[in-house]
Amino acid sequence: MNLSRMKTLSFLLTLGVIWMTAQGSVPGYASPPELNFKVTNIEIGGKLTDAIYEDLNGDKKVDLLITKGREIQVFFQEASGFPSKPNQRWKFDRRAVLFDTVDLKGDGKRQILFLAKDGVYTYDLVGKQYRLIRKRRKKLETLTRRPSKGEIRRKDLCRDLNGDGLEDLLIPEATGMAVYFNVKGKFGKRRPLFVPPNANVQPGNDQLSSRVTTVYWFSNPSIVDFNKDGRKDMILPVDDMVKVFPQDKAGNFPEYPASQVKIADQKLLEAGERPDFELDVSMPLQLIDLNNDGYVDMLSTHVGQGVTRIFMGSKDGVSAFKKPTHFIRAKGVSFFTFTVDLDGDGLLDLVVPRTDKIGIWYLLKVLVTRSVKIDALCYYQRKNVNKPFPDEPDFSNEIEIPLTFKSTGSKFNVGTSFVASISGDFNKDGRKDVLYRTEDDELGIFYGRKGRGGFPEDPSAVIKVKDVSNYRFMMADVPDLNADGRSDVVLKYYSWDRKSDRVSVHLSKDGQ
Amino acid sequence: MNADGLEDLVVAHIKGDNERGKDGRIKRFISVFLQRKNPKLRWISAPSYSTEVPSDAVLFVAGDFHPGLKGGEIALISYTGIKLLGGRNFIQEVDFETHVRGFFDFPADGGLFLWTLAPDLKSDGKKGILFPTKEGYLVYGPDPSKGLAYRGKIKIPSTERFGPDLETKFLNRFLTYFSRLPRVVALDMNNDKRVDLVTYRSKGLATFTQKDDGTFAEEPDTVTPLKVVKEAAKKSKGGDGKSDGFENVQLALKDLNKDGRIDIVATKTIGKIGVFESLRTQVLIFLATKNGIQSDKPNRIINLKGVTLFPEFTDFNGDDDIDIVLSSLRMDMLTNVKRAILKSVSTTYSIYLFTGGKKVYSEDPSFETDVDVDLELVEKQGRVRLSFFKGDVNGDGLKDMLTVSARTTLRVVPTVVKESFFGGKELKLDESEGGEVTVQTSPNLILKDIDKDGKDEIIFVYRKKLKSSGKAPKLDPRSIIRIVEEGQ
Repeated sequence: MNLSRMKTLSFLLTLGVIWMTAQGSVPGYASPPELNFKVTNIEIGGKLTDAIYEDLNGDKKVDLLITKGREIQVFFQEASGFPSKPNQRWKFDRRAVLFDTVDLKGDGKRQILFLAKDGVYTYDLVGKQYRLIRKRRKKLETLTRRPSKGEIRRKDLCRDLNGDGLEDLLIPEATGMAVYFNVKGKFGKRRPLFVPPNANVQPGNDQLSSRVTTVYWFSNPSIVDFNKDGRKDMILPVDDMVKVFPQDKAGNFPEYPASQVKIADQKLLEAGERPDFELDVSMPLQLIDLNNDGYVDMLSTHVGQGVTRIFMGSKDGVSAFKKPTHFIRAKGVSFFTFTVDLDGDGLLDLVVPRTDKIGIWYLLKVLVTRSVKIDALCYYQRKNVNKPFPDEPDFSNEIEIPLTFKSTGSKFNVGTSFVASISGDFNKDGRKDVLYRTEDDELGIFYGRKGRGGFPEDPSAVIKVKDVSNYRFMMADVPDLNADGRSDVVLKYYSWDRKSDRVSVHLSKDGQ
Repeated sequence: MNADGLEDLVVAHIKGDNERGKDGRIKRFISVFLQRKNPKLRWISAPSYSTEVPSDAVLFVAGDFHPGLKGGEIALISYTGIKLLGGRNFIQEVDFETHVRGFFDFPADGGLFLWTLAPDLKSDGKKGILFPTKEGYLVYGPDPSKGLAYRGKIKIPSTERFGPDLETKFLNRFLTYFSRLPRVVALDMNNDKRVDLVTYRSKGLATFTQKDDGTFAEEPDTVTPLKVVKEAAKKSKGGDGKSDGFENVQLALKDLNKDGRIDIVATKTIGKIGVFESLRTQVLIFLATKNGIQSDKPNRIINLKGVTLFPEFTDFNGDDDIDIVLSSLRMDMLTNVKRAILKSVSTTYSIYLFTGGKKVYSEDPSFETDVDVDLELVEKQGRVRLSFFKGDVNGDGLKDMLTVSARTTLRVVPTVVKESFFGGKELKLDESEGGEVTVQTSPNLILKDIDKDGKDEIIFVYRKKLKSSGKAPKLDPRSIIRIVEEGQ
């Protein structure tokens, strides 16, 4: 194992850290009540690629779309919950590169759209079934011409970009993105945006195990009325710049940004450079309206310094991003700043996972102890405009994440049975609750306290689940699938060999 | 580059303040630094020729491609084809230009990378180019009239994948698109004095043999299964996640005994990580015979404690044989505790001299040395390989040890042949003759005798702007190369 692989390991750990924005507690509590859920176990029998929760047939109930490799499985929600076998399943066309769902006509029925090298196609819902004859909706060219052999991913290709209530099309291209507006159920002409992808090229070396690699990534545009003219604009963080493409009166975006600002001290890696242990690099800019005032705010997290800079948006447009208005400083290393309204007051709070400085000793410690310790620091937002966040966290807790290491051929793999989420509200009180693995077959729910009280040490309730210890990764989603105001739990089990992944849907029973 | 017998430098670079073009992209340049005969003015800091690189270029390589032109040319590889630059100032477009859709879709902003797949296909001193595509490589060989000519396509498909759904939530990405193409290694597999192309695929070692007319077939001519890889993959595949044993194998191809057949050196990391357990490495040497390679029966196994970096092959003692330099980093608990206390990393370097015969290399290392490096430096440089045994800086035919042991210090320790305590001769590092050069160091270091005086020069390549600190000489922050010659 070389050093770069060890650094890759540290990066993988950070992905785990992202899920660690929850509060933990050690077992040894008085028996909390067990919540009753209606459970549907879905054996994927292969590689779980995506799980999507959407009302596909317009019956106001959220349905489930699961992709297994390149196969799509549709589960319609019924009054009794979800079936354990899909209502319909089929393999994507072999040319399909990426997919999304779209309500082209705005009638509540969602088509399954896929992108191929020569255009976009849909499978349409006819009655209770998708018609498996693809229909080309637009001839176009894209950067992503070749499909992935063993899987197909869902990307947010279809979204309402101009605020007319219809979903438009956003296509990645070599020099940026192309917008195709939805005009009465049909995609219109190509409108390019010059925002080239961030490209990382590695030519490899003269060894048999070496590869030529390219990685292209596109920033996710935020669609907001940035200039307050009543029309939705497109705003994109690109490297250390924020670029604004305002929508004109005719409903179009300009090809080049109308305004842009360079974000000072946003540290980027130079071409071909890999981060060293100092981690002198910033995470991609996050654009979000933190205080619900209608202006987009911005977060910039420097990993090695553990500093999050907050830029509050204002009527000054991009000029508001020239200088940060607030700072959050976590001692050590912080990879991410998570935004969530913990206390239900309409203002987004910050959860910052931090860990010790990463060095060789740190990595060796992780390898030997097979665990990572992180602190989840919670900063509740105040209504005080001058100082919305405190200098010190309102609440923090240490979490230990168990790790498993395994190698397959020439790869070194890391796994964890850790499960956590901080996005759910299980008791319908408007505050976010923490879902956290307390036993191999049990998830604890820690109800959020009133005010800025954080979370209790012991779980408020538990959910019994299938043993998670033999899986490489676990992920928990907490959507409200049955529209009862309480979060449901979708547990995704990722096996080591990716041959026996599974999904468990836990539907809440109202009134419990 | 100018056919005067002296090696020149061709450098891809950006300018000090990330000068940008109208499209907002960082401008990239290629500069040629010609070496002069006058030893006092051998290198001057300004390039002899410099040109801005077209916006579609992704890679470059310099060499003598065009048989009809004197001196060298620069090949620019873009996502739309290959372009040759040459002529009197090395920056004019010359005959050859081909338009084909390549593996790349867009260049990295501010990046222009060195492409090393430019083999001398016919062993005649002229280079060809392997052009990467999504389906494999297009092979171009030297052509007297056109510069380069198409010699065939070898099929090695790339693999694509896309980022998971989490990337939007946590990295604010619309999408990430990964594409990977296995590299090929260019070497003469069948001893016909023509370079063949080899890659590793799931079924084994795939060889595309160069035909008499210099062309290649699309499909490999031979595919040789390698048990050492298959068994490792089998042992570590599947399972329930409870087993954490390691079986990692990396391969190198080299004609170690110069019998005209390519041998295999496999580096296998095995063992477990734990308080009472450690990783260790086996270097397995498989010699090729007229019947091929028996990949389940190595001729030689060298066991190393800890994990090792990829072996270095070098003629260490100047006898024209290929010796092996192995480095190992201990991973056991005791060593880690020591590291934490002393805040240093110790890497053991072992040199095995070629002895020939079935065992190929000496039973024990011809010499071993531990190099302690400050943990902080390793973390800042981001690499463990900070000692080099590839350069002969004093011209005595023996490779010497160069250690980047601090940010501003390069330590040079010559290797000498001395009388052994038990009689006979042995190789030793002569610490008493060792010296230090105060220079801003970089782990990107090239050792090469570029002035042909029999002594290797040290070329530091600084990827980042240089910071002036400590005793280090203050350098122009735009300096990207520093050549250290004898006496400096």
